Amino acid sequence: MELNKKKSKQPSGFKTPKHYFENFEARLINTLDLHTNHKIKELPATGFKIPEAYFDDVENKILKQTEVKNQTKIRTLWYYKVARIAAILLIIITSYSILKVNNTNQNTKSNNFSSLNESDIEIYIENNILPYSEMRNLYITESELDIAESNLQGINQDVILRYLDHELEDIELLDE
Amino acid sequence: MQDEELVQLLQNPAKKNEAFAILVKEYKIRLYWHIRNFVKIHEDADDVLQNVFIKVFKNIDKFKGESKLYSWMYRIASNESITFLNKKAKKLKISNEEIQDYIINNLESDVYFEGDEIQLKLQKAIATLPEKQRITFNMKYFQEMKYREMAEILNTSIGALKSNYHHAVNKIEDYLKNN
Repeated sequence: MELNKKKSKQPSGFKTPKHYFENFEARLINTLDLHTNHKIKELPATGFKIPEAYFDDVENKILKQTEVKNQTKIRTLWYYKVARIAAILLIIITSYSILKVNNTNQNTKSNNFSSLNESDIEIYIENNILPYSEMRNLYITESELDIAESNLQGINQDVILRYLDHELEDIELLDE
Repeated sequence: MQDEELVQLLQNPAKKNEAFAILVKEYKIRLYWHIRNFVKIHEDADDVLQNVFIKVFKNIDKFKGESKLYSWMYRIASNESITFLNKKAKKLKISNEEIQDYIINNLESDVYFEGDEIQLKLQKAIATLPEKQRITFNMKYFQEMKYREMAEILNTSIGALKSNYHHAVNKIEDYLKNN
């Protein structure tokens, strides 16, 4: 006390803000309010209530959940890294395969159609398809038909019928 | 333990679980009532509270200390509560405004609400307020928060909060006089 008195009488050069000590208690309570739950008890009545021992239960529930998440996290970190790499590889391989198939298809289509020009088509027709004049030779001409008919006229009808009866297994086919 | 010290422990993998237990013990009641003022129903508040703490646990490494820990946590709690109510409204196929009426109308049958006639009327009046005014009023009136703290949590100016609170009080007074 002696020391305090002396100190207050002898100026030290140090000073405090105006009303510092008057406001000190209020400020200290405010600071405590931010870090303690005291204020909750003094809040205006809302009518809301909670189950008995709720805050003890919820604390355990939250901690259990984070424990589980923590454990899973250790496993999943490794798992997801591998899964991510596998997924990336799968995408690359699939994309490459699709591109390759597309290219092959396009090449095939090109070979079939695009790469053919008109002159190639003309050469193919010329070499592989007979000209109209030659195609005519494949068929019997009218004069040849007349000769064949005149030859048949010399043959007896009974001979023809006997031939057909002997050579054909099912004569009924002729009716069809 | 100061929040700064707690954050350091939370961001240290070796101490994280131990520090998280302290954090839950320290903030569970305050955050619960903050959430309860949004969602009103105890079971919903319980769900949201757990989600908030799990989010805090998962994201504590991203906390850079630009704001205070409590305001960061309150902000998560506010956002989670709003998201929860919006989802609930969607599930019930009603608007985000209608959900307030729905909750208040069911409050009388809630076993965890034992408010008297005046308290119920006050809740009904609060339910008529626009979202910003409702949040401001709840934080100021029921939680007795300071504008400075509210501004940090809601990321808005003190002036806007004062204005919101003023309008909210006037509307509540009008409602109580006329109903």
